[in-house]
Amino acid sequence: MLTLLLTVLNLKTVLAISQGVALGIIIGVLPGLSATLGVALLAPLTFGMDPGTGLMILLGVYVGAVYGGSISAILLGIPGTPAAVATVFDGHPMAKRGEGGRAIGIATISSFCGGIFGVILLLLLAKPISKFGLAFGEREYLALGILALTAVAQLSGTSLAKGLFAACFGLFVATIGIDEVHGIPRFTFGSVNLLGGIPYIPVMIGLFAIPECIVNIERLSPRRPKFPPLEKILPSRSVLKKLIKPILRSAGIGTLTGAIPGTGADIAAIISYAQGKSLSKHPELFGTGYAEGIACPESANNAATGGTMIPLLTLGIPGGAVTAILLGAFMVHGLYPGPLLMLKNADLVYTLIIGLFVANVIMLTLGLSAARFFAKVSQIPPALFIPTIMLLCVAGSFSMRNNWFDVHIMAISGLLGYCMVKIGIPRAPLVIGMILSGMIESNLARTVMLCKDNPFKFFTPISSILIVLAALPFAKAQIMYLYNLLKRVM
Amino acid sequence: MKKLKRMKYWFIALMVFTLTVVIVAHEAATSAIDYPKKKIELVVAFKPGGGSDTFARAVARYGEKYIGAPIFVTNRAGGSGAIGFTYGAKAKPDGYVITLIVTTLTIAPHTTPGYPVTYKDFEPIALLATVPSCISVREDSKFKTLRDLIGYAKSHPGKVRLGTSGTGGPWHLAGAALGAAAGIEFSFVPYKGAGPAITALLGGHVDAVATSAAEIYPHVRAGKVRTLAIIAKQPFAAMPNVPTTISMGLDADVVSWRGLAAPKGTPKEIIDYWITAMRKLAKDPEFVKFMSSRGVTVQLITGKAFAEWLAKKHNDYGKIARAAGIACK
Repeated sequence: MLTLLLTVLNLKTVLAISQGVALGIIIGVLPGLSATLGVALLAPLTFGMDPGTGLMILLGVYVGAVYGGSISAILLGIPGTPAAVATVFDGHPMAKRGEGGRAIGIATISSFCGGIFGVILLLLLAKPISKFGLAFGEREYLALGILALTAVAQLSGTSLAKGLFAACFGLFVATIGIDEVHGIPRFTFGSVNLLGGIPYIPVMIGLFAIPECIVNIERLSPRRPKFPPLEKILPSRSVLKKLIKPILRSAGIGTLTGAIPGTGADIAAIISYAQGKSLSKHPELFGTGYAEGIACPESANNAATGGTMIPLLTLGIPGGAVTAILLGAFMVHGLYPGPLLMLKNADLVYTLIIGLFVANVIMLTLGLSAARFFAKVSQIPPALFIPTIMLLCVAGSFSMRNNWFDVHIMAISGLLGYCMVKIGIPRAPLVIGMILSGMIESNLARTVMLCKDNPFKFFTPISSILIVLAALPFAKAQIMYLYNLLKRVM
Repeated sequence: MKKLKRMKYWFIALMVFTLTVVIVAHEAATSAIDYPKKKIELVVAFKPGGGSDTFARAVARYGEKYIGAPIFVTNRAGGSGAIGFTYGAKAKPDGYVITLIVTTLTIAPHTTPGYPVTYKDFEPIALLATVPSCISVREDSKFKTLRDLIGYAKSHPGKVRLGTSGTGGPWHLAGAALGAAAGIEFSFVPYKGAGPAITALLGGHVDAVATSAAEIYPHVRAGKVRTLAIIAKQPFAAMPNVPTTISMGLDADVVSWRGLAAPKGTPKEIIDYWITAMRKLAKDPEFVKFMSSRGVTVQLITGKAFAEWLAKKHNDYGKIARAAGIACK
C-alpha cells in the first residue's frame, strides 16, 4: 500500500489529477455543463493515456465538477450542476448579504470532508455497502423516491402549497415523452423532440438563471455598487464545530445514496438537505443563508462521488450517470470492473482510490485559494455579467444534446421561472419533481406489478425504514407531543 | 504616411499568403472525387458513454485515416433514437452528416406508436457489427439450463420475471421471441436500459434478463451470471459453450446490429467512397481488437446488400413483435 501511495504521489500524477480537478471545477461552475457531460466529453481524450492516469483525470473532473456547481449556486443563484440545486437555497442568500466568500469557504470544506468520508468508506466498507446497494429493488427505490420528495416540504419556503404545486408540475412535465414501462408516447403531440422528453438540465438553467438576469436588469441603476469589505473565507472555529455533526451525517447519507445504483450526487444532496433541516436545532434558519444549509448538501454530493464508485469497483455496476461513463472508460482501457477487477488489478483499484483522495485534497486547496477570486465575480458590473450568463446558458443548454430544442426549453423555463419568482412560487421543488419523476413512476409501476395481489409486500426492511424516515419530519410534532405526555405521566 | 504604406504592403502580403495556403491545401486533397473537404459529423442517437456511443467513437477514431477527414461524433439522444435518426435522415445529403444506425431503427417503428423514422429514410452504407441477444440468470439460480427455465415457466405461467431494457426495445423483443417460440409466458419487467436490468438481476429482483451478449459478458466473466442461451443463429464468440436457440430447435433470432447510413439522396460516389473506407476499417487490426475486447463481432455487409438485409430485419422484427403481441400496428 505504501509503495502505491508513492506511485500516486509523484509529480506527473498529481499534476494530471490537478488538471482534472481544475477542469472539473470550471465545468461545474458553468451552468449547463454538468459533471456527467464533462466526464463524457473528456473520457475519449483519455483513451490514449495509460489507464491509471487517464482514469484519475476523469475522477478529478468528477470531484471538481460536483464541487464547482456550488460556486455558481452561491454566487449567481444558478446551480452549476444538478447536484447543487439544494445549495442555492442557503448559499445565494448568504452571498446576497455580502458573505459570498464565507459561503464558498463552508461549501469547500464541507465538500472536502464529504469527499474524504466517501473515499474512506470506499476503501474500508466497499463490499458491505455494495450489498446494500444491490438490495434496492423497485420497492426500495419507490420508498427512496418518496423520501427524496419530502425534501419539497423543506424547500418550499413560506408556502407549502405553492411548493407542492411546483413539485407536482415538475413531476408532470417529466412524464412527457416515451413511457418507460409501456413504451407509449405521452403528451408528445407528434413532435419528434417531445418524444425524447423534456431534459431537466435546460429547465434548471432557465428557471434559475434567466430570472436572476431579468431581476438584475430591473434593479440596474446608474450608481456604481458599493463593494463590501473583503471577508474571511475560512469559517471560524466555532462555526466549524457546529457543522461537524451535520457534515458527518450528510456524508453518510451521501455515500449510501451514491452507492445505490441509479442515484447520484443530485438525489444525495436533496435527501441530505431535507434530513438536515428536519434534524437541525434551528430548522427555521434554513433558507435564510444558514451555514448548515450549505454544509449538508455539499457534504452529501461530494460523499456521493465516493459512494457511486463503490458498486462500480466491486460489482461493475455504475452507481450513477457519471460512473456509467467511467464504466465505459474502464472497458476502453481494457479493464472489466467487477469482482474480477479487485482480484486481478488490485493495484490499479487502490491507486484509483488514492487518486480520488488526492483529488479531494486538491479540490480543497484550489477551492480555498481561488475562493476570493470567485467571490469577486459578484462584483462584476451587471452590464457585463448578465449577457455573459445568458450566453453561457444558451451554450450550456445546447451542448447537452446538440439540439436547439433544448435552448427553447431553457428560454421557456426562463420565462416561467420569472413568473414564479414574481408570484412567489419556489422553483427548487419543480426541479426536484422533474429529477425524481422517472425514478418514482417507473418503480411505482414495477411495485404495483409485483405487489398487486398483496399490497403489504411493499414493506421490506429497507423500504419500511425509508418510509419511516420520510414520515418522521411530519410526525415530529405528534411524536414530541406523545413524548412529553409520557414524560408527564411517568 | 510611410507607416500606412508599410501596413498596406504587409496586408497585401498577408492576403497573398493566405490565398496561397488555401489553394495549396485544396490541391492537397487526394481523393478523386471532391470529398471530403471538411470534417464529417457522425450522429449517434444515444447518450454519451453508452454502447452505441463508444462504438461510434471507435469508428471515428480508427476510420478517420481511411476517410481522409476528421470525424466528430455528436450525441443527439432522446425518444429511443427518434431524435438522432430523424436529424440524420433529414440532413443535407452531401456526405457530411453520417448516422450510426442501430437495431432500434428496425424495431421501434413496430413497437412505439408514432415513431417517425424507419430504415427507408436512409441511404444505407454498411453494416459494421452484430451482437446477438441472450437470456441469462444469476449464477446461483435454480435454472441451470434453458430447458429448466422453459419447464418451470410452462408450469407456472407468468411467474418468471424477465427483466428487459425497456418495453418495445430489442431485448424485450428477444424475450418475446423466445417466449413465443417456446410457448411460455414471461412476466416482463421493463427497466431504463440494460444496465439497470442487469443490476436488478444481480440483486435478485428478477429471475432472468434478456440483454445483448456483449453487455452481460463482463458479469459472466466475473462468475456472477450464467447465460442460458444465445437468442440467435450464430453462437457468441466470447461464450462459445452457450447454446443458441436455433440449435435447440427454438425459432428465435434477435441480434443487435450497428451500421452507418447517409440521408436519402446522397450521391452514389460518396456512398461508394464510404463503403471502400469501411471495408478497410473492418480489416484494421486495432479496430478489430477494440471491438473484440468488448465482445463485439465485426461483420461487414455493404451497399445494396445492406439495404436488403435491413428490409429483411425490419420485416422479421415486425413479425416477431406482432406474434409476441407487443406491436402497435
